[in-house]
Amino acid sequence: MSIFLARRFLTFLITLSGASVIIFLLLEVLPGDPALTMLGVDAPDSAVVAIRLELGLDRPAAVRYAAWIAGLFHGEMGLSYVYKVPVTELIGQRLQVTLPLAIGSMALATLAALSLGIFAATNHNRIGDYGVMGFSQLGLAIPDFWFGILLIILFAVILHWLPSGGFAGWDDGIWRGARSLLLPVFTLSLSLTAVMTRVTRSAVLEVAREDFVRTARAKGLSRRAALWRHVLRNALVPVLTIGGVLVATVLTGTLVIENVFSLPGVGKLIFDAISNRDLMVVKNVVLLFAAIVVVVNFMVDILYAMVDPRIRIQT
Amino acid sequence: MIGLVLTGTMIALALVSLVWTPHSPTEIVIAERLKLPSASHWFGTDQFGRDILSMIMAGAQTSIVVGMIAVSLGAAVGISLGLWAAARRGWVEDMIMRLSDLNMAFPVILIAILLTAGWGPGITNAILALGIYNISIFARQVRGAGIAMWEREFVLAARAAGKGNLAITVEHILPNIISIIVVQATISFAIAILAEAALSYLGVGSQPPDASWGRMLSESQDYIFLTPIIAVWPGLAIVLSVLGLNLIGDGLRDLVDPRMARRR
Repeated sequence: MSIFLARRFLTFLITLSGASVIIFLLLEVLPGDPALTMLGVDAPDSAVVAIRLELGLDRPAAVRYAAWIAGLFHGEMGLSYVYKVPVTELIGQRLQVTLPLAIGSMALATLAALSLGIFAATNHNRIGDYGVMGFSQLGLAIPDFWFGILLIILFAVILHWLPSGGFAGWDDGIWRGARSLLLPVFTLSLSLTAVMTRVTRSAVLEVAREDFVRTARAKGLSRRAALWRHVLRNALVPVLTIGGVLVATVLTGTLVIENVFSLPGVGKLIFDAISNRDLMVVKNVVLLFAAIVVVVNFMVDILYAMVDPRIRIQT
Repeated sequence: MIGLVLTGTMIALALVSLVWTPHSPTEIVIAERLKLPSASHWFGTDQFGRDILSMIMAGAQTSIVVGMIAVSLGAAVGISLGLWAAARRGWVEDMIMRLSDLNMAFPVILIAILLTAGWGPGITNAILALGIYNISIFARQVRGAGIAMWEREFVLAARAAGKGNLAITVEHILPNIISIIVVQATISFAIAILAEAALSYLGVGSQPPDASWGRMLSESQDYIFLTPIIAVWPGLAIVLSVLGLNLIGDGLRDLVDPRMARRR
Protein backbone atom coordinates (compact mmCIF):
# COMPACT_ATOMS: atom_id res chain seq x y z
CA MET A 1 0.00 0.00 0.00
CA SER A 2 2.82 2.44 0.83
CA ILE A 3 4.42 1.99 -2.62
CA PHE A 4 1.04 2.58 -4.22
CA LEU A 5 0.53 5.68 -2.07
CA ALA A 6 3.98 7.05 -2.90
CA ARG A 7 3.50 6.51 -6.65
CA ARG A 8 0.05 8.01 -6.59
CA PHE A 9 1.26 11.00 -4.58
CA LEU A 10 4.08 11.60 -7.06
CA THR A 11 1.58 11.53 -9.94
CA PHE A 12 -0.59 13.95 -7.99
CA LEU A 13 2.30 16.39 -7.59
CA ILE A 14 3.30 16.11 -11.26
CA THR A 15 -0.29 16.71 -12.39
CA LEU A 16 -0.67 19.72 -10.15
CA SER A 17 2.60 21.31 -11.29
CA GLY A 18 1.78 20.48 -14.91
CA ALA A 19 -1.58 22.20 -14.53
CA SER A 20 0.05 25.36 -13.16
CA VAL A 21 2.56 25.42 -16.05
CA ILE A 22 -0.23 25.02 -18.62
CA ILE A 23 -2.30 27.80 -17.06
CA PHE A 24 0.69 30.13 -17.01
CA LEU A 25 1.67 29.32 -20.61
CA LEU A 26 -1.87 29.75 -21.94
CA LEU A 27 -2.49 33.04 -20.16
CA GLU A 28 0.85 34.78 -20.04
CA VAL A 29 3.20 33.36 -22.66
CA LEU A 30 1.43 31.97 -25.74
CA PRO A 31 -1.00 34.87 -26.40
CA GLY A 32 1.97 37.29 -26.48
CA ASP A 33 2.51 40.29 -24.21
CA PRO A 34 0.21 39.96 -21.16
CA ALA A 35 0.17 43.78 -20.84
CA LEU A 36 -1.43 43.97 -24.30
CA THR A 37 -3.81 41.11 -23.44
CA MET A 38 -5.00 43.12 -20.43
CA LEU A 39 -5.18 46.56 -22.02
CA GLY A 40 -5.99 45.64 -25.62
CA VAL A 41 -3.78 46.20 -28.67
CA ASP A 42 -4.89 49.82 -29.09
CA ALA A 43 -3.66 50.88 -25.64
CA PRO A 44 -1.26 53.83 -25.53
CA ASP A 45 2.41 52.90 -25.02
CA SER A 46 2.63 54.81 -21.74
CA ALA A 47 -0.19 52.73 -20.23
CA VAL A 48 1.41 49.51 -21.45
CA VAL A 49 4.76 50.47 -19.90
CA ALA A 50 3.04 51.45 -16.66
CA ILE A 51 1.15 48.19 -16.28
CA ARG A 52 4.27 46.20 -17.13
CA LEU A 53 6.10 47.89 -14.27
CA GLU A 54 3.13 47.67 -11.90
CA LEU A 55 2.63 43.93 -12.37
CA GLY A 56 6.28 43.06 -12.97
CA LEU A 57 5.51 41.90 -16.51
CA ASP A 58 8.92 43.15 -17.70
CA ARG A 59 10.58 40.17 -15.99
CA PRO A 60 11.26 36.97 -17.99
CA ALA A 61 8.40 34.43 -18.04
CA ALA A 62 10.29 31.83 -16.00
CA VAL A 63 10.94 34.35 -13.21
CA ARG A 64 7.29 35.42 -13.21
CA TYR A 65 6.16 31.78 -13.01
CA ALA A 66 8.55 31.07 -10.13
CA ALA A 67 7.36 34.20 -8.30
CA TRP A 68 3.71 33.14 -8.78
CA ILE A 69 4.30 29.65 -7.36
CA ALA A 70 6.47 30.96 -4.50
CA GLY A 71 3.68 33.40 -3.64
CA LEU A 72 1.14 30.55 -3.58
CA PHE A 73 3.24 28.75 -0.96
CA HIS A 74 2.90 31.85 1.21
CA GLY A 75 -0.84 32.06 0.56
CA GLU A 76 -0.47 35.04 -1.80
CA MET A 77 -2.07 35.24 -5.23
CA GLY A 78 -1.18 38.81 -6.09
CA LEU A 79 -3.43 41.85 -6.56
CA SER A 80 -6.50 41.97 -8.77
CA TYR A 81 -5.76 44.50 -11.48
CA VAL A 82 -9.36 45.74 -11.55
CA TYR A 83 -10.44 45.62 -7.90
CA LYS A 84 -6.97 46.52 -6.51
CA VAL A 85 -7.40 44.05 -3.65
CA PRO A 86 -5.58 40.75 -3.01
CA VAL A 87 -6.99 37.91 -5.15
CA THR A 88 -7.09 35.65 -2.05
CA GLU A 89 -9.45 38.15 -0.39
CA LEU A 90 -11.71 38.24 -3.47
CA ILE A 91 -11.85 34.46 -3.72
CA GLY A 92 -12.47 34.17 0.04
CA GLN A 93 -15.47 36.50 -0.17
CA ARG A 94 -16.91 34.76 -3.21
CA LEU A 95 -16.51 31.28 -1.74
CA GLN A 96 -19.17 32.24 0.82
CA VAL A 97 -21.62 31.84 -2.04
CA THR A 98 -19.94 29.15 -4.14
CA LEU A 99 -19.18 26.66 -1.35
CA PRO A 100 -22.72 26.50 0.11
CA LEU A 101 -24.04 26.21 -3.45
CA ALA A 102 -21.69 23.32 -4.29
CA ILE A 103 -22.07 21.49 -0.98
CA GLY A 104 -25.84 22.00 -0.89
CA SER A 105 -26.35 20.60 -4.39
CA MET A 106 -24.05 17.65 -3.74
CA ALA A 107 -25.89 16.82 -0.49
CA LEU A 108 -29.33 17.17 -2.07
CA ALA A 109 -28.28 15.09 -5.10
CA THR A 110 -26.77 12.32 -2.93
CA LEU A 111 -29.88 12.09 -0.80
CA ALA A 112 -32.24 12.10 -3.79
CA ALA A 113 -30.11 9.72 -5.87
CA LEU A 114 -29.70 7.13 -3.11
CA SER A 115 -33.45 7.10 -2.46
CA LEU A 116 -34.41 7.02 -6.15
CA GLY A 117 -31.70 4.49 -7.08
CA ILE A 118 -32.63 2.05 -4.30
CA PHE A 119 -36.33 2.51 -5.05
CA ALA A 120 -35.75 1.78 -8.76
CA ALA A 121 -33.57 -1.27 -8.05
CA THR A 122 -36.05 -2.78 -5.59
CA ASN A 123 -38.81 -2.22 -8.15
CA HIS A 124 -36.69 -3.52 -11.04
CA ASN A 125 -38.58 -3.66 -14.36
CA ARG A 126 -41.74 -2.33 -12.76
CA ILE A 127 -43.45 0.97 -13.37
CA GLY A 128 -41.58 2.76 -10.57
CA ASP A 129 -38.26 1.70 -12.08
CA TYR A 130 -39.27 2.94 -15.53
CA GLY A 131 -40.40 6.24 -14.02
CA VAL A 132 -37.09 6.79 -12.23
CA MET A 133 -35.06 5.80 -15.30
CA GLY A 134 -37.14 8.14 -17.47
CA PHE A 135 -36.51 10.98 -15.03
CA SER A 136 -32.79 10.20 -15.01
CA GLN A 137 -32.60 10.11 -18.83
CA LEU A 138 -34.34 13.50 -18.96
CA GLY A 139 -32.14 14.92 -16.18
CA LEU A 140 -29.05 14.07 -18.24
CA ALA A 141 -30.41 15.86 -21.31
CA ILE A 142 -31.66 19.07 -19.66
CA PRO A 143 -29.00 21.80 -19.62
CA ASP A 144 -28.77 23.01 -16.02
CA PHE A 145 -28.82 26.68 -17.01
CA TRP A 146 -32.12 26.16 -18.87
CA PHE A 147 -33.59 24.27 -15.92
CA GLY A 148 -32.58 27.28 -13.79
CA ILE A 149 -34.36 29.68 -16.15
CA LEU A 150 -37.50 27.49 -16.07
CA LEU A 151 -37.43 27.48 -12.25
CA ILE A 152 -37.09 31.28 -12.27
CA ILE A 153 -40.11 31.53 -14.59
CA LEU A 154 -42.17 29.26 -12.32
CA PHE A 155 -41.13 30.38 -8.83
CA ALA A 156 -40.24 34.03 -9.41
CA VAL A 157 -42.23 35.20 -12.44
CA ILE A 158 -45.46 33.21 -12.05
CA LEU A 159 -45.72 32.29 -8.35
CA HIS A 160 -43.60 35.12 -6.83
CA TRP A 161 -42.42 32.75 -4.10
CA LEU A 162 -38.67 33.15 -4.48
CA PRO A 163 -36.28 35.81 -5.82
CA SER A 164 -35.28 35.51 -9.50
CA GLY A 165 -31.62 35.99 -8.62
CA GLY A 166 -29.08 37.86 -6.53
CA PHE A 167 -27.78 36.98 -3.10
CA ALA A 168 -29.07 38.45 0.16
CA GLY A 169 -25.84 37.71 2.07
CA TRP A 170 -25.35 35.92 5.38
CA ASP A 171 -25.36 39.03 7.60
CA ASP A 172 -29.16 39.22 8.02
CA GLY A 173 -29.49 35.64 9.17
CA ILE A 174 -28.95 32.25 7.60
CA TRP A 175 -32.49 31.96 6.24
CA ARG A 176 -32.22 35.05 4.01
CA GLY A 177 -28.99 33.81 2.46
CA ALA A 178 -30.22 30.24 2.16
CA ARG A 179 -33.46 31.44 0.54
CA SER A 180 -31.53 33.04 -2.33
CA LEU A 181 -29.62 29.78 -2.81
CA LEU A 182 -32.69 27.50 -2.86
CA LEU A 183 -33.37 27.63 -6.60
CA PRO A 184 -29.66 27.51 -7.57
CA VAL A 185 -29.03 24.44 -5.36
CA PHE A 186 -32.09 22.72 -6.77
CA THR A 187 -30.99 23.58 -10.32
CA LEU A 188 -27.45 22.32 -9.90
CA SER A 189 -28.55 19.08 -8.26
CA LEU A 190 -30.69 17.93 -11.21
CA SER A 191 -27.98 16.49 -13.47
CA LEU A 192 -25.99 15.21 -10.48
CA THR A 193 -29.06 13.35 -9.23
CA ALA A 194 -29.64 11.89 -12.69
CA VAL A 195 -26.11 10.47 -12.93
CA MET A 196 -25.93 9.20 -9.35
CA THR A 197 -29.38 7.60 -9.52
CA ARG A 198 -28.30 5.50 -12.50
CA VAL A 199 -25.09 4.42 -10.77
CA THR A 200 -26.87 3.60 -7.48
CA ARG A 201 -29.55 1.60 -9.27
CA SER A 202 -27.14 -0.52 -11.32
CA ALA A 203 -24.78 -1.01 -8.34
CA VAL A 204 -27.64 -2.25 -6.14
CA LEU A 205 -28.89 -4.56 -8.93
CA GLU A 206 -25.36 -5.89 -9.50
CA VAL A 207 -24.64 -6.64 -5.84
CA ALA A 208 -28.12 -8.12 -5.26
CA ARG A 209 -27.23 -10.89 -7.74
CA GLU A 210 -24.03 -11.87 -5.88
CA ASP A 211 -23.76 -15.29 -4.24
CA PHE A 212 -23.25 -13.89 -0.76
CA VAL A 213 -26.58 -12.13 -0.96
CA ARG A 214 -28.28 -15.32 -2.05
CA THR A 215 -26.59 -17.14 0.85
CA ALA A 216 -27.80 -14.50 3.27
CA ARG A 217 -31.34 -14.88 1.94
CA ALA A 218 -31.07 -18.70 2.08
CA LYS A 219 -30.09 -18.38 5.73
CA GLY A 220 -33.47 -16.79 6.32
CA LEU A 221 -32.65 -13.08 6.16
CA SER A 222 -35.58 -11.01 4.90
CA ARG A 223 -35.27 -9.10 1.61
CA ARG A 224 -35.18 -5.82 3.48
CA ALA A 225 -32.52 -6.99 5.95
CA ALA A 226 -30.35 -8.40 3.14
CA LEU A 227 -30.68 -5.11 1.28
CA TRP A 228 -29.61 -2.96 4.23
CA ARG A 229 -26.95 -5.26 5.68
CA HIS A 230 -25.29 -6.68 2.59
CA VAL A 231 -26.33 -5.02 -0.64
CA LEU A 232 -26.14 -1.33 0.23
CA ARG A 233 -22.78 -1.52 1.97
CA ASN A 234 -21.19 -3.05 -1.14
CA ALA A 235 -23.12 -0.96 -3.62
CA LEU A 236 -21.81 2.24 -2.04
CA VAL A 237 -18.31 1.78 -3.54
CA PRO A 238 -19.20 2.72 -7.14
CA VAL A 239 -21.54 5.43 -5.85
CA LEU A 240 -18.67 6.92 -3.84
CA THR A 241 -16.39 6.84 -6.86
CA ILE A 242 -18.85 8.56 -9.14
CA GLY A 243 -19.45 11.09 -6.35
CA GLY A 244 -15.76 11.98 -6.57
CA VAL A 245 -15.88 12.30 -10.32
CA LEU A 246 -18.93 14.54 -10.01
CA VAL A 247 -17.02 17.08 -7.91
CA ALA A 248 -15.62 18.47 -11.17
CA THR A 249 -19.15 18.65 -12.56
CA VAL A 250 -20.37 20.50 -9.46
CA LEU A 251 -17.51 22.99 -9.62
CA THR A 252 -18.01 23.86 -13.25
CA GLY A 253 -21.74 23.77 -12.64
CA THR A 254 -21.40 26.55 -10.04
CA LEU A 255 -19.61 28.67 -12.69
CA VAL A 256 -22.68 28.43 -14.92
CA ILE A 257 -25.43 28.55 -12.30
CA GLU A 258 -24.01 31.64 -10.58
CA ASN A 259 -24.36 33.43 -13.88
CA VAL A 260 -27.96 32.25 -14.31
CA PHE A 261 -28.97 33.55 -10.87
CA SER A 262 -26.56 36.54 -10.76
CA LEU A 263 -24.93 35.18 -7.60
CA PRO A 264 -21.73 36.96 -6.54
CA GLY A 265 -19.68 33.74 -6.31
CA VAL A 266 -16.39 32.58 -7.81
CA GLY A 267 -18.13 31.78 -11.12
CA LYS A 268 -19.35 35.35 -11.51
CA LEU A 269 -15.90 36.59 -10.44
CA ILE A 270 -14.08 34.67 -13.16
CA PHE A 271 -16.41 35.67 -15.99
CA ASP A 272 -16.25 39.31 -14.88
CA ALA A 273 -12.47 38.91 -14.77
CA ILE A 274 -12.48 37.64 -18.37
CA SER A 275 -14.49 40.66 -19.53
CA ASN A 276 -12.22 42.99 -17.54
CA ARG A 277 -9.10 41.12 -18.69
CA ASP A 278 -8.06 40.70 -15.08
CA LEU A 279 -5.49 37.96 -15.77
CA MET A 280 -4.36 37.71 -12.16
CA VAL A 281 -7.84 36.65 -11.07
CA VAL A 282 -8.39 34.27 -14.02
CA LYS A 283 -5.00 32.59 -13.46
CA ASN A 284 -5.54 31.90 -9.77
CA VAL A 285 -9.20 30.90 -9.92
CA VAL A 286 -8.55 28.42 -12.74
CA LEU A 287 -5.63 26.95 -10.78
CA LEU A 288 -7.80 26.70 -7.66
CA PHE A 289 -10.51 24.80 -9.54
CA ALA A 290 -8.04 22.52 -11.35
CA ALA A 291 -6.32 21.84 -8.00
CA ILE A 292 -9.61 20.87 -6.37
CA VAL A 293 -10.33 18.45 -9.24
CA VAL A 294 -6.84 16.90 -8.95
CA VAL A 295 -7.02 16.61 -5.14
CA VAL A 296 -10.46 14.97 -5.26
CA ASN A 297 -9.34 12.50 -7.96
CA PHE A 298 -6.33 11.66 -5.79
CA MET A 299 -8.52 11.08 -2.74
CA VAL A 300 -10.97 8.93 -4.69
CA ASP A 301 -8.09 6.77 -5.98
CA ILE A 302 -6.77 6.28 -2.46
CA LEU A 303 -10.21 5.50 -1.04
CA TYR A 304 -10.88 3.12 -3.88
CA ALA A 305 -7.58 1.30 -3.32
CA MET A 306 -8.37 1.00 0.38
CA VAL A 307 -11.70 -0.62 -0.42
CA ASP A 308 -10.53 -2.77 -3.35
CA PRO A 309 -7.00 -4.22 -2.94
CA ARG A 310 -6.84 -5.31 -6.61
CA ILE A 311 -6.37 -1.67 -7.66
CA ARG A 312 -3.15 -1.42 -5.63
CA ILE A 313 -1.63 -4.41 -7.40
CA GLN A 314 -2.57 -3.23 -10.87
CA THR A 315 -1.05 0.23 -10.61
CA MET B 1 -36.03 4.28 -32.16
CA ILE B 2 -37.11 7.50 -30.42
CA GLY B 3 -33.43 8.45 -30.39
CA LEU B 4 -33.16 8.02 -34.15
CA VAL B 5 -36.29 10.11 -34.75
CA LEU B 6 -35.11 12.95 -32.48
CA THR B 7 -31.59 13.02 -33.88
CA GLY B 8 -32.91 12.66 -37.43
CA THR B 9 -35.20 15.65 -36.89
CA MET B 10 -32.32 17.76 -35.59
CA ILE B 11 -30.12 16.89 -38.57
CA ALA B 12 -33.01 17.47 -40.98
CA LEU B 13 -33.70 20.91 -39.44
CA ALA B 14 -30.05 21.86 -39.81
CA LEU B 15 -29.93 20.65 -43.43
CA VAL B 16 -33.16 22.41 -44.40
CA SER B 17 -31.94 25.63 -42.76
CA LEU B 18 -29.01 25.65 -45.19
CA VAL B 19 -31.42 26.38 -48.05
CA TRP B 20 -34.64 27.57 -46.39
CA THR B 21 -35.92 28.99 -43.11
CA PRO B 22 -39.44 30.43 -42.58
CA HIS B 23 -37.89 33.90 -42.06
CA SER B 24 -34.34 35.18 -41.96
CA PRO B 25 -32.77 34.10 -38.64
CA THR B 26 -30.82 37.38 -38.45
CA GLU B 27 -33.30 39.96 -39.79
CA ILE B 28 -34.31 42.49 -37.12
CA VAL B 29 -37.94 43.68 -37.28
CA ILE B 30 -38.53 45.91 -34.26
CA ALA B 31 -42.29 46.19 -34.95
CA GLU B 32 -42.59 42.42 -34.57
CA ARG B 33 -40.64 42.10 -31.29
CA LEU B 34 -41.62 39.63 -28.54
CA LYS B 35 -44.64 38.31 -30.43
CA LEU B 36 -46.33 35.16 -29.11
CA PRO B 37 -46.55 32.08 -31.38
CA SER B 38 -48.83 32.70 -34.38
CA ALA B 39 -49.47 31.42 -37.89
CA SER B 40 -46.70 33.58 -39.37
CA HIS B 41 -44.22 32.95 -36.52
CA TRP B 42 -44.85 29.42 -35.19
CA PHE B 43 -42.57 29.87 -32.16
CA GLY B 44 -43.05 33.65 -31.88
CA THR B 45 -40.34 36.29 -32.15
CA ASP B 46 -37.49 37.43 -29.89
CA GLN B 47 -36.64 40.87 -28.45
CA PHE B 48 -35.38 42.04 -31.87
CA GLY B 49 -38.37 40.67 -33.77
CA ARG B 50 -36.35 37.80 -35.21
CA ASP B 51 -38.27 34.58 -35.97
CA ILE B 52 -37.47 32.06 -33.20
CA LEU B 53 -38.15 28.94 -35.30
CA SER B 54 -35.72 30.15 -37.98
CA MET B 55 -33.10 30.88 -35.31
CA ILE B 56 -33.54 27.40 -33.83
CA MET B 57 -33.14 25.83 -37.27
CA ALA B 58 -29.95 27.82 -37.89
CA GLY B 59 -28.80 27.05 -34.32
CA ALA B 60 -29.00 23.33 -35.09
CA GLN B 61 -26.27 23.89 -37.69
CA THR B 62 -23.99 25.46 -35.09
CA SER B 63 -24.59 22.64 -32.61
CA ILE B 64 -23.94 19.93 -35.18
CA VAL B 65 -20.86 21.58 -36.70
CA VAL B 66 -19.30 22.33 -33.30
CA GLY B 67 -20.10 18.84 -32.00
CA MET B 68 -18.78 17.07 -35.08
CA ILE B 69 -15.51 18.99 -35.33
CA ALA B 70 -14.84 18.87 -31.59
CA VAL B 71 -15.57 15.17 -31.21
CA SER B 72 -13.58 14.31 -34.37
CA LEU B 73 -10.64 16.31 -33.07
CA GLY B 74 -10.73 14.69 -29.63
CA ALA B 75 -11.33 11.25 -31.12
CA ALA B 76 -8.53 11.47 -33.67
CA VAL B 77 -5.90 12.46 -31.11
CA GLY B 78 -7.34 10.36 -28.27
CA ILE B 79 -7.71 7.17 -30.30
CA SER B 80 -4.16 7.46 -31.67
CA LEU B 81 -2.73 7.98 -28.19
CA GLY B 82 -4.85 5.16 -26.72
CA LEU B 83 -3.81 2.72 -29.44
CA TRP B 84 -0.16 3.71 -29.04
CA ALA B 85 -0.33 3.23 -25.25
CA ALA B 86 -1.95 -0.20 -25.64
CA ALA B 87 0.59 -1.33 -28.24
CA ARG B 88 3.77 -0.10 -26.58
CA ARG B 89 2.88 -0.25 -22.85
CA GLY B 90 5.85 0.66 -20.58
CA TRP B 91 7.01 4.27 -20.48
CA VAL B 92 4.91 5.29 -23.50
CA GLU B 93 1.76 4.18 -21.71
CA ASP B 94 2.89 5.85 -18.48
CA MET B 95 3.57 9.12 -20.26
CA ILE B 96 0.24 9.09 -22.10
CA MET B 97 -1.66 8.27 -18.93
CA ARG B 98 0.04 11.11 -17.02
CA LEU B 99 -0.80 13.51 -19.84
CA SER B 100 -4.35 12.26 -19.65
CA ASP B 101 -4.39 12.90 -15.86
CA LEU B 102 -3.30 16.44 -16.64
CA ASN B 103 -6.00 16.76 -19.30
CA MET B 104 -8.62 15.61 -16.82
CA ALA B 105 -7.64 18.32 -14.33
CA PHE B 106 -9.30 20.77 -16.73
CA PRO B 107 -13.05 20.37 -17.21
CA VAL B 108 -14.25 21.80 -20.51
CA ILE B 109 -15.35 25.16 -19.07
CA LEU B 110 -11.94 25.76 -17.51
CA ILE B 111 -10.23 25.09 -20.87
CA ALA B 112 -12.66 27.47 -22.56
CA ILE B 113 -12.00 30.12 -19.88
CA LEU B 114 -8.23 29.84 -20.41
CA LEU B 115 -8.51 30.07 -24.19
CA THR B 116 -10.98 32.96 -24.02
CA ALA B 117 -8.89 34.92 -21.50
CA GLY B 118 -5.84 34.53 -23.73
CA TRP B 119 -7.33 34.90 -27.21
CA GLY B 120 -10.82 36.35 -26.80
CA PRO B 121 -14.24 34.66 -27.12
CA GLY B 122 -15.21 32.78 -30.27
CA ILE B 123 -16.53 29.57 -31.73
CA THR B 124 -13.02 28.32 -32.60
CA ASN B 125 -11.97 28.45 -28.96
CA ALA B 126 -15.16 26.63 -27.93
CA ILE B 127 -14.45 23.88 -30.49
CA LEU B 128 -10.82 23.64 -29.37
CA ALA B 129 -11.82 23.47 -25.70
CA LEU B 130 -14.32 20.67 -26.41
CA GLY B 131 -11.81 18.84 -28.61
CA ILE B 132 -9.03 18.98 -26.01
CA TYR B 133 -11.46 17.89 -23.28
CA ASN B 134 -12.41 14.81 -25.35
CA ILE B 135 -8.82 13.64 -25.93
CA SER B 136 -8.32 11.90 -22.59
CA ILE B 137 -11.82 10.42 -22.64
CA PHE B 138 -11.11 8.63 -25.94
CA ALA B 139 -7.49 7.82 -25.03
CA ARG B 140 -8.52 6.08 -21.79
CA GLN B 141 -11.36 4.12 -23.36
CA VAL B 142 -9.27 2.98 -26.33
CA ARG B 143 -6.26 2.09 -24.18
CA GLY B 144 -8.38 -0.08 -21.89
CA ALA B 145 -10.16 -1.87 -24.71
CA GLY B 146 -6.93 -2.10 -26.73
CA ILE B 147 -4.96 -3.75 -23.91
CA ALA B 148 -7.68 -6.38 -23.51
CA MET B 149 -7.55 -7.01 -27.27
CA TRP B 150 -3.74 -7.39 -27.31
CA GLU B 151 -4.09 -10.36 -24.95
CA ARG B 152 -6.32 -12.29 -27.36
CA GLU B 153 -5.02 -15.30 -29.25
CA PHE B 154 -5.59 -13.96 -32.76
CA VAL B 155 -3.20 -11.13 -31.93
CA LEU B 156 -0.62 -13.67 -30.77
CA ALA B 157 -1.15 -15.50 -34.07
CA ALA B 158 -0.64 -12.30 -36.06
CA ARG B 159 2.52 -11.61 -34.12
CA ALA B 160 3.75 -15.17 -34.78
CA ALA B 161 3.12 -14.52 -38.47
CA GLY B 162 5.68 -11.72 -38.19
CA LYS B 163 3.42 -8.65 -38.16
CA GLY B 164 4.64 -5.50 -36.43
CA ASN B 165 2.87 -3.37 -33.81
CA LEU B 166 1.48 -0.90 -36.35
CA ALA B 167 0.09 -3.58 -38.67
CA ILE B 168 -1.54 -5.47 -35.79
CA THR B 169 -3.01 -2.23 -34.42
CA VAL B 170 -4.51 -1.21 -37.76
CA GLU B 171 -5.63 -4.65 -38.95
CA HIS B 172 -6.72 -6.33 -35.72
CA ILE B 173 -7.00 -4.02 -32.71
CA LEU B 174 -8.80 -1.03 -34.23
CA PRO B 175 -11.49 -3.00 -36.13
CA ASN B 176 -12.28 -4.95 -32.97
CA ILE B 177 -12.77 -1.93 -30.73
CA ILE B 178 -14.48 0.34 -33.26
CA SER B 179 -17.92 -0.35 -31.74
CA ILE B 180 -16.76 1.00 -28.36
CA ILE B 181 -15.44 4.09 -30.13
CA VAL B 182 -18.75 4.67 -31.93
CA VAL B 183 -20.68 4.46 -28.64
CA GLN B 184 -18.28 6.91 -27.00
CA ALA B 185 -18.49 9.28 -29.98
CA THR B 186 -22.29 9.37 -29.74
CA ILE B 187 -22.20 10.16 -26.03
CA SER B 188 -19.44 12.73 -26.53
CA PHE B 189 -21.50 14.37 -29.27
CA ALA B 190 -24.42 14.76 -26.85
CA ILE B 191 -22.11 16.21 -24.20
CA ALA B 192 -20.61 18.55 -26.80
CA ILE B 193 -24.06 19.96 -27.68
CA LEU B 194 -24.76 20.62 -23.99
CA ALA B 195 -21.32 22.14 -23.45
CA GLU B 196 -21.47 24.34 -26.57
CA ALA B 197 -24.82 25.67 -25.40
CA ALA B 198 -23.41 26.36 -21.93
CA LEU B 199 -20.32 28.11 -23.33
CA SER B 200 -22.43 30.25 -25.68
CA TYR B 201 -24.80 31.01 -22.81
CA LEU B 202 -21.80 32.26 -20.80
CA GLY B 203 -20.60 34.37 -23.74
CA VAL B 204 -17.44 32.36 -24.40
CA GLY B 205 -18.83 30.28 -27.28
CA SER B 206 -20.32 31.29 -30.61
CA GLN B 207 -20.68 35.02 -31.20
CA PRO B 208 -23.31 37.10 -33.05
CA PRO B 209 -24.53 36.95 -35.77
CA ASP B 210 -24.12 33.12 -35.70
CA ALA B 211 -27.29 31.53 -34.33
CA SER B 212 -26.77 29.47 -31.20
CA TRP B 213 -29.25 27.83 -28.83
CA GLY B 214 -27.15 28.75 -25.79
CA ARG B 215 -26.92 32.42 -26.72
CA MET B 216 -30.63 32.54 -27.54
CA LEU B 217 -31.25 31.44 -23.95
CA SER B 218 -28.91 34.03 -22.42
CA GLU B 219 -30.47 36.81 -24.52
CA SER B 220 -34.00 35.67 -23.72
CA GLN B 221 -33.37 35.66 -19.97
CA ASP B 222 -33.76 39.46 -19.76
CA TYR B 223 -37.27 39.18 -21.20
CA ILE B 224 -38.74 36.27 -19.22
CA PHE B 225 -40.84 38.69 -17.15
CA LEU B 226 -42.50 39.92 -20.38
CA THR B 227 -42.68 36.80 -22.56
CA PRO B 228 -41.48 33.70 -20.68
CA ILE B 229 -42.19 31.47 -23.69
CA ILE B 230 -39.14 32.75 -25.62
CA ALA B 231 -36.88 31.01 -23.08
CA VAL B 232 -38.64 27.70 -23.60
CA TRP B 233 -37.96 26.91 -27.29
CA PRO B 234 -34.15 26.89 -27.45
CA GLY B 235 -34.00 24.80 -24.27
CA LEU B 236 -36.44 22.28 -25.72
CA ALA B 237 -34.30 22.04 -28.86
CA ILE B 238 -31.24 21.25 -26.73
CA VAL B 239 -33.06 18.70 -24.56
CA LEU B 240 -34.57 16.81 -27.51
CA SER B 241 -31.25 16.69 -29.42
CA VAL B 242 -29.26 15.51 -26.39
CA LEU B 243 -31.96 13.03 -25.41
CA GLY B 244 -31.96 11.62 -28.95
CA LEU B 245 -28.19 11.14 -29.01
CA ASN B 246 -28.14 9.64 -25.49
CA LEU B 247 -30.85 7.15 -26.44
CA ILE B 248 -28.91 6.17 -29.57
CA GLY B 249 -25.77 5.81 -27.43
CA ASP B 250 -27.61 3.55 -24.96
CA GLY B 251 -29.06 1.47 -27.79
CA LEU B 252 -25.65 1.04 -29.44
CA ARG B 253 -24.08 0.07 -26.11
CA ASP B 254 -26.68 -2.63 -25.64
CA LEU B 255 -25.85 -3.95 -29.10
CA VAL B 256 -22.12 -3.94 -28.36
CA ASP B 257 -22.43 -5.38 -24.87
CA PRO B 258 -25.64 -7.42 -24.54
CA ARG B 259 -24.83 -8.14 -20.86
CA MET B 260 -25.49 -4.44 -20.17
CA ALA B 261 -28.92 -4.75 -21.80
CA ARG B 262 -29.83 -7.70 -19.61
CA ARG B 263 -28.80 -5.77 -16.53
CA ARG B 264 -31.24 -3.00 -17.25
